[in-house]
Amino acid sequence: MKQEQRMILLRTGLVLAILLSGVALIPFIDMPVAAINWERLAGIYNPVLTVNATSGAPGSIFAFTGSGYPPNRRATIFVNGESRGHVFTNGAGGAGFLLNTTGAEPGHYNVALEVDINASAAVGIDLVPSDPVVFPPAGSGGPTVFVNPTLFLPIIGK
Amino acid sequence: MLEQSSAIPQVRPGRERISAKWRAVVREWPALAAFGLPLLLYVLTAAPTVFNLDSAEFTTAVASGGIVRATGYPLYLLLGKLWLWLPLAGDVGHRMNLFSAFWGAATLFLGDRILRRLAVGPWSRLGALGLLAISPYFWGLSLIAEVYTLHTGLMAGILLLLLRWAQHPSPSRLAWPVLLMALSAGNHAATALLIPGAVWFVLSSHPQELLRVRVWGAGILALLAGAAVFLVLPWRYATQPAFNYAGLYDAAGVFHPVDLTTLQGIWWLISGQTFASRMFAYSLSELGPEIQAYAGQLWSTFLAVGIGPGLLGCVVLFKRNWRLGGFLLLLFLANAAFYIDYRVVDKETMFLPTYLIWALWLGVGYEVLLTWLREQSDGPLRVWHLRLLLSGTVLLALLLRWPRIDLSQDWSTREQSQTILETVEPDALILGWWETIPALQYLQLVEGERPDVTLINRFLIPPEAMHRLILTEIQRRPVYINSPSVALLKETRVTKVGSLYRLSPRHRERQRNTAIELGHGKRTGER
Repeated sequence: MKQEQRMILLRTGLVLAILLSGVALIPFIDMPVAAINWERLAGIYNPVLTVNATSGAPGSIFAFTGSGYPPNRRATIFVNGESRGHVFTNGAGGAGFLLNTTGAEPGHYNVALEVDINASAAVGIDLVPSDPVVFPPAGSGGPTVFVNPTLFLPIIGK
Repeated sequence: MLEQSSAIPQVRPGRERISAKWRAVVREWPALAAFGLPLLLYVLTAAPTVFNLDSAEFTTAVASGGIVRATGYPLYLLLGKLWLWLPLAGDVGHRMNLFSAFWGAATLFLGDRILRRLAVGPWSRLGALGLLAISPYFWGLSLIAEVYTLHTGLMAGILLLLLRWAQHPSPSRLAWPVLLMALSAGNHAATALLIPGAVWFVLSSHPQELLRVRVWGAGILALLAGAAVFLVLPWRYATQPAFNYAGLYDAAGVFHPVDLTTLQGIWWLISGQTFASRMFAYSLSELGPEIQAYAGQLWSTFLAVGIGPGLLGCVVLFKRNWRLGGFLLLLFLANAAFYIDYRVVDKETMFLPTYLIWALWLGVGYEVLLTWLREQSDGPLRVWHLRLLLSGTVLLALLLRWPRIDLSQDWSTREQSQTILETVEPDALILGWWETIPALQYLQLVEGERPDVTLINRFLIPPEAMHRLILTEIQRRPVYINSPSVALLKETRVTKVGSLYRLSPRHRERQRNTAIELGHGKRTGER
C-alpha cells in the first residue's frame, strides 16, 4: 500500500513538474507579448532617429539613437544639411552618436542620420539659453560630432 | 399477436439513412469543432478591410491580376482569385483576410486529424490545438491577407498524406504528398525546409518502395503537375498587369518588368535572390540572443503548461516511432534554425510551422499525462483536474488575448490611404514604402480611386534614379514622398502635408539652408 501510494505521489509530482516546468523559465524569458501591429513592422522601411532631449542650453551634449537602418553600413550625420561626421550601423541597423553644441548659436537645428536617400531620418533640437544644460545618459555610445566644426589644438605637455 | 407485431411501426429506410448521417455527424463533432470554432473566432476578429504592408500587396495583386515580389507566390495568387469568386460579404480586402482565416482553421482541422492518427484523445487535442489557435502570431496572421496560414495548411496536409502513405504504401499514395509539396512551393519557398524531414520519413519507413519504377513515375508526374502552378507567373506577365512588383523603375519613371516568359526571369523571381543576403546573416555571437528571442516566443505561444508536455511529447513520439519522431524533429529544426538565422525585422511572423509541430508534440505529451493519471485510481490529481486545466488555459488565454489581437475595428490602413488620396493634388506622383504605397494601389486599382495619381514603391526604384526622377518631376507635377533625404531637403522645397512631404522646386534666392515647413507655416533655419 505504501509502495502504491509512493508511486501515486511520484507520478502526480511528475505530472505537475512537467506541466509547470514552463513557469521555471520565466526568469529567462525576456519578451513582452504584443499584438501584431503593422505600424511596428513598418519601421523596417522607415528608419527612426531619436534624441534624449529636444531642447537644452548651448553647450549641451545630446545623445542620438538611430534604428531601422540597413545593417553594417556607413551613415552620415547631418546638422542643418551639412555633414558633420559618420557612424557605422550595427548588425541590427542601429547606431548612436553624441552631438556637442559647444559654441553653437541658440536656435533650431535639424539633425539627420542617413545611409542613403532611402534610409534617412531626422529629428529637431532647440538650443535655448534659459534651458538647463543637457548631458547624455550614462552608457551612451558612439562618436561625438559638433554643431560647429571645432579645431582642437594639441595639448603641449610641460 | 402477429397482427400486433406487424402493427409495430417500422423505421422507413430514408429515415434510417438520415439518422445514420446524424450519428456520423455527432461522431465527427471534434473534427467539426476543430475547424468551426477557430473559423468563427477568426471571422469575428478579422480585419474589416484591406490591411497594410505585405497584406495590401497580396490583396491588390490577387484582385487586379497582378504580380508580387519574390518569390512570386503563384499558388496564393491563383487560390486567392478563386476565393474572391465566392459570394462573401465585405470588400475585397476583408474577403482576402477571410482567406487566411479559412486556412488557419483548415490547419487546425488537419492537425486534429494527425493527432487522431497518433491516438491522442479529444481533451489533449483541444488543449494542444487550442493553444495554437489562440497563440498571438497564429491567430494574428489568420486575420489578415498573408501566405502563412495557407503554408501551414499545406504543411499539415503533406504530413497527413505521408502518414497515410506510410500506413499502406503505394505509388498513388506517395504521389499525393509530392503533388501537394510542389503546389506548396508555389505558395511559399519555405516548403523547401520540409524536404529533409520528408525524405528521412520515406527512406526510413519503406525504402524498398523507391526501387519501384511506378513509384518514380507517379512521383515525377505529381511533381510536374504541382510545379505547373508556376505557369501562373508567365500567364499574368503576358497580360501586362498594372500591379507588378517584379521589376524596376528608371529615372524617367518608366517601369521595366522582369520578363517572366523566360526561364531566367522566372528563376530570378522564384529563387528570392533579393533576400539571399539576409539568410544565415548572424554571426555566432549574435545567434545567442536570437535563439533566446525565439525561445521566448515559443514560451509565450504555448504558455507555461505547453512547454514541458511538448518536450515530453517529442521524446515519447521518438521512442514509439523513431521514423515519425525524426520526421517531425527535422521539420521543427529546419524551420527554427533557418528563421532564427534570417535577418529580417518581421521574422517573428515566420515561425508558424514550428508552432504547428510543437502543437502535435504537445498533444502527444498531454495524452501521456492523462494516461498516467488514468492509470492511478487514487491520488491528489485526477484526470478531470488535468482536463479542466487544459481547457481552462485555452479559455483564459483566449479572453486575455482577444483585446490585443482583435483587428475587427482596425480601419487605420484604409483611413490613412483615403486621407492621402483626398489630400494630394491632381496628377500627383507619390513615392513611399510598403506602409504607404500598396494600400494606395489597392484603392486605385481595386476600387478605382484617383486613377490620375502615379504611385511608386521605393523598393522598386534605385536611390539615384529616384533622386533624378524627383528633380525632373517636381518641375511639372506635384511630387510627394514619405520621408525626404537630406539631399532632397537641400535641393527642394519641402512642405509637410499630412503623413507625406510635398516636394517643389526651390527658388534660387532661398537656396541657403535646409528648411522644413511645418503645417502651420513656420520656417526654420532661414533668414
